[in-house]
Amino acid sequence: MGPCVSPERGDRTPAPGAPNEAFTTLPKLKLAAFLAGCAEADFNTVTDTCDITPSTLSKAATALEQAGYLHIRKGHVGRRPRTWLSLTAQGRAAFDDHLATLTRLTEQGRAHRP
Amino acid sequence: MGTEMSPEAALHAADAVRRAAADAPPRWFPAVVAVVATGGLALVGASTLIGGAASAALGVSGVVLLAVLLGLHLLRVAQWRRRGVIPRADQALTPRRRWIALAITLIGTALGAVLWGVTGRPGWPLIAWGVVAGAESWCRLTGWGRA
Repeated sequence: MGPCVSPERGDRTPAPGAPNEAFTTLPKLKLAAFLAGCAEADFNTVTDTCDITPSTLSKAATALEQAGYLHIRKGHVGRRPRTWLSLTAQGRAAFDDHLATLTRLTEQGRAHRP
Repeated sequence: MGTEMSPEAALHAADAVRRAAADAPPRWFPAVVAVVATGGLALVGASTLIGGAASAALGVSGVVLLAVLLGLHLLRVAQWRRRGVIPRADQALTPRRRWIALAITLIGTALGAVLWGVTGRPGWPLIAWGVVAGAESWCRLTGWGRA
């Protein structure tokens, strides 16, 4: 089966029926998927659960934030500072579309298997 | 990294991580919440139906149970914050569960209103709403994270 990455494009809008490039690297995919399963998550919890290093997660979060898909909020639990991450409504919709595209590509791939 | 991943592998990875974010309540939580919610409202309702010293005792017991119910929910919120994952309230349930919970609430509310109209006293509706609150809570909490 072919790769799920379409050729580089200048804009952030995925081509119709193509996977969204914002979610095509594993850290970004894992981050978006984790946040899609909850309302909000702590940065450290995401690194632990998704097995992503803090620096990689930071880069992924910044990229998704710049795309308008992720919201970063600074907060506290007790005296501990926490960074909370959540998908924006636009991010949830884009990720749902991305999963739908992956599902369609997977089904097409299965259909073409001998 | 992502360039070598097939759509199928990406889907599996996304599904596994998404499931890891779901935070089902402890096994005891739905039953305890259901019993405490039903007991609290039912006791307050019963206290309005009977007179004397027993009425005050039942009323106080009911209010204590309702305070315990509030405490149980605050405990869950504290657990979410400590774990670092705040669950989604809107889509944690399957659509079927959501409809069942909504139906229980609507039918129960209507039943309570009819009881109030027929009896003219708030006791029976409170008891009915207690049963409804318990059933609705149990339905929602046992279906948590299945969507």
